Parts: sequence; structure tokens; C-alpha cells
Amino acid sequence: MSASEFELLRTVTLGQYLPTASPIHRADPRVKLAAGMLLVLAVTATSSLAGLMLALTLVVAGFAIARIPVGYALSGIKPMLPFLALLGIFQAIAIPQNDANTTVYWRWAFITLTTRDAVAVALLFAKFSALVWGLSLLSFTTTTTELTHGTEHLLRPLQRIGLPAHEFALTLNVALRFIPLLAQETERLMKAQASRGADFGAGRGWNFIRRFRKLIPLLVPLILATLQRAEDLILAMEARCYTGGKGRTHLVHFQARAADYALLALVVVVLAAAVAAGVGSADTLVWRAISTIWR
Amino acid sequence: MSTETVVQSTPARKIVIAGVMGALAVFLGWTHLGFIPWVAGAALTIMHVPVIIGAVLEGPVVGTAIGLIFGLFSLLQAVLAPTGPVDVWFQNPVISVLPRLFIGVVAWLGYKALKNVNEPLALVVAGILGTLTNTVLVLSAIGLFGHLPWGALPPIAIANGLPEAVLAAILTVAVVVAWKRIETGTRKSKM
Amino acid sequence: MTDPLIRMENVTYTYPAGTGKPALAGVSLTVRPGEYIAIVGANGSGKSTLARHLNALLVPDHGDVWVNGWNTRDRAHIRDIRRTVGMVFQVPDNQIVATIVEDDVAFGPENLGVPDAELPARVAQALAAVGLEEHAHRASHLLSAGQKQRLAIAAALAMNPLCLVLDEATAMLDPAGKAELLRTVRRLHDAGTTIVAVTHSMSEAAEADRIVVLAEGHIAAEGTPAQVFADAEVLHQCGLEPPPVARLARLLAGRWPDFPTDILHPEAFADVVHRFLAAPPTAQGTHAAANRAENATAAPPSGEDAEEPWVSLGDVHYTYMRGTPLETHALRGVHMKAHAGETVAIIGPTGSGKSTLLQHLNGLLRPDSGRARVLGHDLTDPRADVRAVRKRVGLVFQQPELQLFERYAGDDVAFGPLAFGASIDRARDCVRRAMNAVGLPFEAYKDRLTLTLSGGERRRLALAGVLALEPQILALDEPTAGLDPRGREDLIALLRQWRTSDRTIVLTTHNMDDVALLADRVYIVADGKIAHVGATRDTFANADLLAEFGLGLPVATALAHALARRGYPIPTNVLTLEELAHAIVRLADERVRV
Repeated sequence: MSASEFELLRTVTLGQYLPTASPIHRADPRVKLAAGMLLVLAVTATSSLAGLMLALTLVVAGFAIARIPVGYALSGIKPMLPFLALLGIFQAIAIPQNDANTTVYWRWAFITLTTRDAVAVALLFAKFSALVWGLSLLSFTTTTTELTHGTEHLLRPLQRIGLPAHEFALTLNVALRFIPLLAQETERLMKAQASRGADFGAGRGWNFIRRFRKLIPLLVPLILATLQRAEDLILAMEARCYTGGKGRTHLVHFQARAADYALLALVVVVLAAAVAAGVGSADTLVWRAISTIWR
Repeated sequence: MSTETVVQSTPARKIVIAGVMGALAVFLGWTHLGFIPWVAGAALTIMHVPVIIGAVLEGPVVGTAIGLIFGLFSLLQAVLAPTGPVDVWFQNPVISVLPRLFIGVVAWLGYKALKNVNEPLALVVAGILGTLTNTVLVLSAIGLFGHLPWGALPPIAIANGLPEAVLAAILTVAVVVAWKRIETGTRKSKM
Repeated sequence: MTDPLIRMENVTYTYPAGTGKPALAGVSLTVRPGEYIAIVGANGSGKSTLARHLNALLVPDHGDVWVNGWNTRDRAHIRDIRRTVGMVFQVPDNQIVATIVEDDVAFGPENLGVPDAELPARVAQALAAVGLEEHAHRASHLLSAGQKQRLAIAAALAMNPLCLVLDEATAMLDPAGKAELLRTVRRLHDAGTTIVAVTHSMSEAAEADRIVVLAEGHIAAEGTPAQVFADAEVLHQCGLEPPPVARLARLLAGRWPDFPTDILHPEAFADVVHRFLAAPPTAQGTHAAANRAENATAAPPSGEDAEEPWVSLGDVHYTYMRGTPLETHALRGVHMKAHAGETVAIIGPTGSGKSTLLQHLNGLLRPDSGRARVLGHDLTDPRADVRAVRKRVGLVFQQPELQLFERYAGDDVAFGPLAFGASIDRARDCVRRAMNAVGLPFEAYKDRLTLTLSGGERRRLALAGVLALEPQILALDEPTAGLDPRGREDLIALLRQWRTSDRTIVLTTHNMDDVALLADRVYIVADGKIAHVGATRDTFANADLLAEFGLGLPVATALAHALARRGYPIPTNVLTLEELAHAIVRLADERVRV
């Protein structure tokens, strides 16, 4: 047992804002959020290496403009490297490829390494990097407040078609308020129970029943205390005349400038191209190119 | 203070309950408190229990909102901090977000159908139905995208889904019975 | 007379899922513009329920409430009512909606639909009124508890209310935070805001123009502070006690039958004593001698005796979240000892490291460097048997009632003994003894639902959960915080009874009267270091030392200092009102003889 036995919970911090005052930091948070969402969608939708490379280029350019130190950027993908390697091996072993289009480079026992494998691993890696770096860029350059306000403003048009957009944004806001409180509360409960003989260190094995039985005295009071806090917050909101989104005014306003529209347009064009690449034949071309070079 | 007995459901109440239960789902996932190691390196999860509790307390809309937060969080976690090959599949919102939207609705339907018959029983049913919705829909989506062959899914559903349903039912009952001070008839401590 | 701002007529209210007993039973009350009213009562007296009727958070079952002429039943005027009467609640964290300070202040006016262009000015004005203008862009969860409460006031002010209702708003604050909040409220009242303060602190109630005493949903007494405090009998029946100065006046009434019993402030008290002792003495500088005299009866000094102390910390350092941007050095070289049979109080400003220190006593935290021996176990040794230490050092956290988790009271108390491997029968014995010791008789309480116990009962139950381990050392973090006067009195009596020659108590507290009543020795912690250690009496004799760390004095000691400042040879190390009364009487006797 270490001195920081209960401290893992304190590490729950929100966001990782890096104030370098770059043009990306100054960009309209709505645009950044929209760009982030488009990126997730585009990267999930495409399986084209060329398309992913395009998206990746966009993200890397963003990092450069935002002046995020390379170390920060790299640390984002470090945790997944070992498991990417694992995936590569998995791919090589498990999926036999009997495709006319593929070239076998290397064969040992049941392990075969083919072009298709190489491309698959490259694809995975590109997908990961684009997503991780894209969303990290967003959180490095946008404060939590900007994110919540941005979300609310971005969702506002949905309000007009009857979706509870304002309500959802406020819900997210409340959730963000409560996460640090939950961390505090859990730490207190764990310490109090450890003081009364509960042993959170042991029982890590497969004995899940024992583990679950230790969770119950932790989770039940945690949830009940949280509900009690919720009751207080409900009263506080009602005392301050909250009756839903209708007729509310807003302290914070965003003013999109020409640069913001330009940024959005750029992102849309690049990502559209990335998705289109998967539809067209660009992929096959890349594939051929790789095979040729390898030979 | 017995303020929890103010039963009227206002917009503030719906938003706050959705917010705090959403925060709880995120917190359980973030700290890994919501995962219980299970056989063969797999883990059982109770991250969806806040969705069920929220739906039981405040209805299907709140349940859906919590499900959305839970889903968005598992999407973000899969993207930003993947821990295994399965997380790659969860980078697809159809697998990580969409199925979670239905947990609350189904749990609430189960609860509502039985509430007036026997409330503790209704809570057990809500816990089980909510969990099974999660398991079945997520696995179906995984099957749909061809990540796993259809034949592999039912064993997973049984091995993970059933114990998770039991855990969810236990937690839902423990929390809601205490919160709503529902009489369960025993009224005896083990001392 | 002006029209009333709020008028309650014969209000009765019963919580729908409660015990069926009305929380308010026929309460009538009028609040006039510009008044400062205190509503006092023990826990469960209905005072928060009353407060919630003042802005339509609750609507009466019978009777009516009118705010500015609008009936709270009239849903059409609900916004007008809530805008007119702003509310501040007890728990700082639970009333902040937004993650950023200025957003939180804007929340109310945004709901009211105040035009966007007006919002920044409203927010700035409200923040300035509570002195938080510099924090406008900070994350709300990073404020101190006192700042959070001032933020809550600003959030109410931003709606331009005529009246502010404070529902035990100071209960969770340390003395400095409390004082700052009360100054803010006083300033707002002077500027014309009507104040309704719900509290069980009599010294806070003394600030008001009028006090309303609630008991079991009825108004038991009403009047100016002087009138209300003069009737000690009624207050006591309501689970309250008159403010200390009024109690002292009563103690002196035995000697001077015409001694006024309606004094509210220490300085006023000093004036009256001054009058009764006639002229001030000409010769001064005798109070050193007086101190010596009082010292003769002081608690036994617990010096460096031959026996090994039960707790011994040497040069302990501890840092939270080492290696992260949020790194905080909580302890920077703490030395501390506690001996068998001793009660040691750890006091100091919020954030000074008191709780961190306490958590070293049972190995919840282990020193980064330094020495820590507790009951013969070396806690710096990574192989130390921490669980054995935890069994013998019971640690009770702040607000332990929030940590109960079993459905039935008896089961919750049994958690510890069972976790340490006791048989059911053995555990039952421990539980029985512990529950009886805290005044929750085992047979009557073991099958009670924990959630239906009162606040004071739940805190005692949580204490029983620790006592059931039959510890030798009891470590308590803020044991009396948030309790009403009777709950606090019960708890202190219980601790005094528990303590014997082979049991030790270490406690942290913000309440100097707790220290006076319980502790033999005092450690002052400031900035992660021990700034002072001494016998309780000697420590409080040095008012400047305590003031330096923003700490107060026990009430009796503060009064003694006030008299000493006027030149009376009064011992400044008295700890209780009885001691002080005795000293004053002795002084009077001496004067008569001279």
C-alpha cells in the first residue's frame, strides 16, 4: 500500500488547457467544437488511408499553428502504442488473406505478413492519431467554459426543431460541476471505511463477488449523498427562477469573425475530401504504390 | 431534511438529476470504479446503473439524457484513452452512443409496468431490463459492423450480460429503496 | 407603519412522504421592509421549512403566504415572488450552478430574461457587493467555502431582491469565513435589504432586530434579542441556549440580583461589570499574579514523562498529488505527541493541514519523510500493520453522518467489528456497548432505518460505528461542526465521559469553546507547521497569539480579556463561564475587603 492509496481520485481534473494565445485559441469555440465533431465523424466514416492522411495533415497543421509543444502531442498517443503493436500481431496471425491483390512479404509458420496487413495496421494507426490528436488539440486550445458555452450555442438551432438543446447543455454543465464533488465524496467515503477496517487493497483477483460487496458500501452512500446534493441544487435553481430554456437571455455571446468562417470552410473541405477519398479509388492507388515501393 | 419528498417534477429537477447521474456514470468509468474484474480478463461494468436509476426516478427523457452522456463518454474514452482492441470498435458512435439511448426508456417501461404491483420487484426488473438492453444492443451493433461473427455474440451476452444484470438490479434496489424509503417488509438488522 | 413585505398567516405544512407530523403548525409571521429577522430553532424545529415558504419553494397546506401582495399559491406570480425574495442555502457546494463564477451570478438574471446588454453590469455589481469582483472568471469549485457562500449571495443579489433569506448559510464555515459573511450581510442590510437569517447560532441571532424562536413547528417566542434571551427557560425547552454573555449575566445575578440579563455583546458586558465594580482600580499590572493563581488548578501538565507517547510524529512532511501541477505541500515538518489519557486539540485556519495531520494517526496517509510512531507501530515502515493501527485508532471524519451506508442502524455500527473479523456474537456485544455509549439504546435503535434518524442521532450513530472497534485513541475531525446547541452539548458530554486514563482523544476544531471544554493541550497548525504548542489555559491566555492565526477565543476567555483590557486584575486564562463568574465575584469580594 502506498501513501497515495486514495489519491487516484484527486487526479480527476477537467480539461488540459494550454494557454499559448495562438490564433487557434482565439478561434470561435463553436467552430472548434464543430470541427472536432466533423473530424470524429469523418474519421469514423472513412477507411481510406489517403483520406486519413489528409485529416492527419489538417490536425498536425493545427498543432503547429497552436504552438503546442511536440512532447504534449506525442504523450497523447504513447499509451496506445503497445496495444497497436498487439493489434498488428493479431492482424498478422489471425486473418489469413487469400486475396489476389495482395503480396506476401514474409511467412513463418502460421504467420504471414502481407500488404493488406501492412495497410490495415497503417490505417488503424492513422485513425487513432487523427482522433486523439484532433480532440487533444480541441482541449489544449479551448477552456471548459468555452466548451460548455460553445456546446449550448451550437445546439441552439436544434431547439427550433423541438429538441431540448438548451436543457442538454445545462445538464452537461451540471455534470461537469459534479464530477469533482464525486471525487471528493468518494475519497472521503473510502478513507472513512478504510478507517473502520475495510480493505480496498486486497481482493483484486477474479473473486468478483467479494469485490462487488466492497463496492456496495461505497456506491450506495455515494449515490444517496449525490441525490441529496442534487435536491439542494434543484431548490437553488428554482429559487433563482429557473423554469426551462424559454425566454432566457445570455451573458456570454460569441461573435464569429471572417477568420472563423474561413477555418470552418477549410475543415469542411479537407474532411469532405478525406471521406470522398474512401468512396473513390484513391485507396487502391495508395495500395498499389505501397506494394510497388516495397518490391 | 426531507426535501426529497417534493415530488413535483420541474425542468430544474429533470436537468439536475440527469446531470448528476450523468456525472456519476462518467466518474465510474473514469476512475474504473465501475468495472469489476471478471473471468478471462473481461470486466463487468455497472456504468449504466446511473442511467437506470435516473430513468426510474425521473422518467424516460432523463434516462435518455443520462444514456447520451454515458455514450458520449464511452466514445470519448475509446478515442482518447483506448485500453484494448475493443475500444477501437467503440470509436464508432453507432456502437458506443446509440444503444445507450435506449437503456433508460426500457428500464422505465419495466419499472412503470410493475410499480403498482410491487415496487421493489419493479426495481429489480428495471435493473435487469436496462442492463440487457445495453448488452443486446451494443453486441448487435458490434455484429452489424462485422467486428465479431454473430455466433460469438450470444455466449458473450450470457457471460457478461447476465451477471451485470444481477449487479445492476442489486444496486438499483439498494439505492432507490433507501432514497424513496420504500418499505420492504423485513425491518430487521442482522444484529 | 409600512406595508409588510412578507405576511404568513396560520401556515401549516406537512411533508408528503414524511412521518405525517406537520413541519409547520399554524405559523404566522410578518416581515417588514428593511427588517433584520433571525429565525432560530433546534434541528427539526421547522425553521428551514418556514424559510422555504418565504419564496414559494414550498406552498402551505393550510394558511397563506403573501410576498409583496402576491399569494405564493398564485403560480402566475412565482417569478415575481422569487425575484423579490432571494435565498442562500446551507451547503456552499450545492447551490452553485455554473462552473465559472460570473456565469453562476448571471444564471438568475438570465432566467428572468434580463436583456443581454444589461447582464454584464448586473453581474459586476453583484460581485462587487460581496467583494468577489476579482474572482469573476475563476472556476467556482476552486473558491473557499466562505467565498462560495458570498458567491451564492451575489447570485441572489443579481436578481435585485428586496429581501434575502439565509438558510443556515454560515453553518459550514470556519470563523473567518463566518465573520466575513456576516459583515457582508450587515452591509447589505445597512444598504436597505431586508434580511431573514435562519440559524441556530445565538450570537448570530443577536445581530438581528427581532428573533423568532421555532419549536416543533410552532412559534415559541418572539421579540427583540434582549427580550428573547431573557427567557432562558423557554430557550432551553426549545433545545437552544442563550448566548454566552446572557448566560454569564445570569450566573452573576446570584451575586448582584439587579444585574441585567439582557446583555448581548462582550463590550456591553464589560461596561456593565465595570459599573457594578464601581470605579476602575488605580493600581494595575496584577493580572500576571492572577494567572498564576488560576494555574494552580490547571490541568495536569503532560510533559516528557518516562512512558512512550501513544502518538509521536517527528518532522513529518506530506505532499498531495506530488509531481502534478496541483501539487500541494500540506505538511512541512510537523512535530506532535499525544500521551495516554490526554485530549489534544489541533486548531488552525482552514487549509493549514489539520485534517492531513489527523489522517496520519491511523496510517490513512503515510509521511513522505519524517517519523511517525503510533501505539508502538512505526508508520514510516512500508510493512507496518496499518489495519492493526486502524483498529486501535478510531478516526471520525467531518460530517460522518453522510457516510452511513447500511439500511439499519445496527448493521452500520457492526461494519467495523465484522470487517476486522469479529464473530456475529462478538460484534453484537461491541455494537450494543457502542450504541448504548452514544445514547442510542441498542434494543430501541438497532432496527431503525438510518435515513429516518435525526441529524444529531445520525452523527452519534456514526461515532458509535467507530467506538464499536473499541479504540484506544479517538481522532475526530470537526466533531461538532454543524450541530445545533443541544446536539453539540450532548456530543461533548459523551466525549468527556468516554475519555479515561487509558484513552486518548485528538481532535481538530474551529470552535474554541470545544477546545476549552475538552482539551488538555493545544497545537496550533499554520501553513503545514506547528506554530505553537501549549496547555489549553496558557494558550488562551495569549490572545494576540491566537489573533495572529485568525483564531478566536473561548467566550469566557474573550470576556476576561475584555475586562483585563480595562485594567481589572482578572485572570485571562479562564476557560468556562463558571470560572469567569467565580473570578468576577472574587474580584468584587476583594474590593469590598479593601
